[in-house]
Amino acid sequence: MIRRASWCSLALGAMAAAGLATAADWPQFRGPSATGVGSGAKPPVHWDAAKGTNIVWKAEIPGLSVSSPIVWGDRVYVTTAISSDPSQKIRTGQYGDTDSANDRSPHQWKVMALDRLTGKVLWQQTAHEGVPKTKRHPKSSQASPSPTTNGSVVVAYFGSEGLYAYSSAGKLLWRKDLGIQNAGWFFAPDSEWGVGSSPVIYKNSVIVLCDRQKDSFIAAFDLKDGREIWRTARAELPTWGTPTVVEGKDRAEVVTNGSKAIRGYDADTGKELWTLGPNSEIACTTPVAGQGLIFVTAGYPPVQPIYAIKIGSAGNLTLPAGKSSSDAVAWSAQRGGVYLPSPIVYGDQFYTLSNSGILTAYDAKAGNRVYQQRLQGDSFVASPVAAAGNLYLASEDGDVFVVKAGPQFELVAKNPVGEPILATPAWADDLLIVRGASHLFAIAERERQP
Amino acid sequence: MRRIALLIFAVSLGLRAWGVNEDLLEASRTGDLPAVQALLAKGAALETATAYGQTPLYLAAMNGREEVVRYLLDQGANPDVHDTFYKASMLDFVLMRKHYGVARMLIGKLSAKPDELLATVVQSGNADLVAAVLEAGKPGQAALDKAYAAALEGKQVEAAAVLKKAGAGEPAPAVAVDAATLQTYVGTYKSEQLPLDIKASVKDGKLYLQATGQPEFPLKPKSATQFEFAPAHLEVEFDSPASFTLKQGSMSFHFKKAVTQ
Repeated sequence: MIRRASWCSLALGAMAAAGLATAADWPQFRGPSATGVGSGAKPPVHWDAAKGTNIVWKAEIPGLSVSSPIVWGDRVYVTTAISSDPSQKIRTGQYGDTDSANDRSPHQWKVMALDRLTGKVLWQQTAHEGVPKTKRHPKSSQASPSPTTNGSVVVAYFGSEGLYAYSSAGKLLWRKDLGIQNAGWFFAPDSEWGVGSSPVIYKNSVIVLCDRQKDSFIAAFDLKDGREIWRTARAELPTWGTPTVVEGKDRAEVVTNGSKAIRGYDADTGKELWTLGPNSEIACTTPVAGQGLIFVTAGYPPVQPIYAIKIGSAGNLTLPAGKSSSDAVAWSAQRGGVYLPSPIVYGDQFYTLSNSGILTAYDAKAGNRVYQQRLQGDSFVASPVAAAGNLYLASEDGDVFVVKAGPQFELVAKNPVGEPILATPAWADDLLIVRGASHLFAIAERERQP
Repeated sequence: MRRIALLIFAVSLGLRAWGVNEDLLEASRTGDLPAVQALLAKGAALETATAYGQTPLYLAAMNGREEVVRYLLDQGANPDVHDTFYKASMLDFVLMRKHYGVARMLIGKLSAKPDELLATVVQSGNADLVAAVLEAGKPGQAALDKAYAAALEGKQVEAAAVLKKAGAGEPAPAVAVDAATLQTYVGTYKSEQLPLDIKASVKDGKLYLQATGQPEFPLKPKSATQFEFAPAHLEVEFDSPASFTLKQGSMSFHFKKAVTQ
């Protein structure tokens, strides 16, 4: 078993050195192309962190962060922000407060690399130290965007504290100050909530979405040196979703959620390709592609839409009044959209998970609702992931619900990790990596453990 | 040619006016009184508004800028403005953000009826504000009783004492509803009128409601089908175990059960 793990590790290491993604890599928020779908054939279904059942390793991560871990080869990368005020916490549960968290103490923003097989910290770098330039939402952190990597460069985005690129060995390659990123309540700019959109790598660039109270933009920077390749202004309010790069037949488009419009951009030039509205005034979820469609949803007034957009569309895709589909929009609904967890397409279904734990399955191609079921958890912000025929839904209560994918709801298991989960879990083949409030848990079935 | 010149002049005047109006909104939001005074002197509109209908007074009030609020009220700014997105009054946000000094200034200026004002202010639990409402106008007995019940339920002892002293009557004793009946109401409800899911659950023999993104709150039974949450002046009436009507003030919303559990 050890020999096999070592061989795998060497092979993955070789692939990583070559800059080639393997099926086991999870290079960004929600993995390859943000699908949330892992490649494992026998991922864990049952575990219990308190008893150690199927827990491969557990590593303490200091500070507060709701960013997701990412994986490349034998490395797991995480970001965190460590407040010098030890009383600071992330406030969980469902509440409608709009005020910022009160923490003006000096922070350290860190990028950490851990060994995928053991959880041992291989390196950690302090990207920045100082008092946060903008505040955070009580349920968020100063390190909410997930990092991204292509195996040789690891990019971390800390909003007002900047964009940082490291080598896989932990050497700082470059950094960029992108200015003050005041992402907060559209109704009162002093209610600062902090950024949430994660950077994504496309070819030799890293794309960053900076939607803020004024002068929003999306831009691509050269992975090698941070040089700006393109920048496109956005007439947008603050948003929190990660842009998704969707490879079409003739082009790659960057799809962005947005309050004023959902938009597609040419990934090579930043040119706006299409727009679609209306949308919620607060847009937090990440677009996801599957079944030849791009799905975008949001869950705040005045509308809570779900759009299934055909890949490769162009122009103004906004539907005429009274219409729910068109040549460019396969189907849509103006109700039923969700607020924080991003949706997932898996098999023939498109799934949404509401903050209150209502899982809704739709026929991905036709849009008709297949089922709706409440999970026994109070609050959900992490986005669903899936593997080997199951969905994995992590709650703030610290439970991960395993639900059989398909047209009928079937709860397979409810697995505790013993601390709140706000970060979206990551896959490394059959290894599930769950970030709790204080620890990273690597979980695998016993026979799949190294 | 003259018409074009006049048009250009009119457009440039419009842009200039919009510029000072935007500056006035920003100065009001940040509490910069000298700038507010200067911008009004330059011709900025007292009732200019953001895309969400927030006027300078609205912004100053919801951000607790007492000096600016006082000045704008003196200039005749309208305190009865509701925004166009949440349809909320400035007092709603002032109370939510606990700017009680500003609330005190607004109470005597608002045109809302004493009954309505008392129902809004008692939710803050602030005895001084409750007293200010009672000073500003005389609410009806029913409104007084309801506010008193809300204060008692919210354990707002000082506010309750002010209301009692003003003549509020003791609330009727709670009605007991058996656990099996409460259990039939459990589930997630949706409305065609409101973009909110409401979850009904039972804990420790009490029925709780929780709207998406909001904290849960307990309901007090008035009968086996009628419940209330006095602190928010909410009334809930089940017409079957699968649907209820939620009433708050003059608003009424019908919810149907979407998910059982």
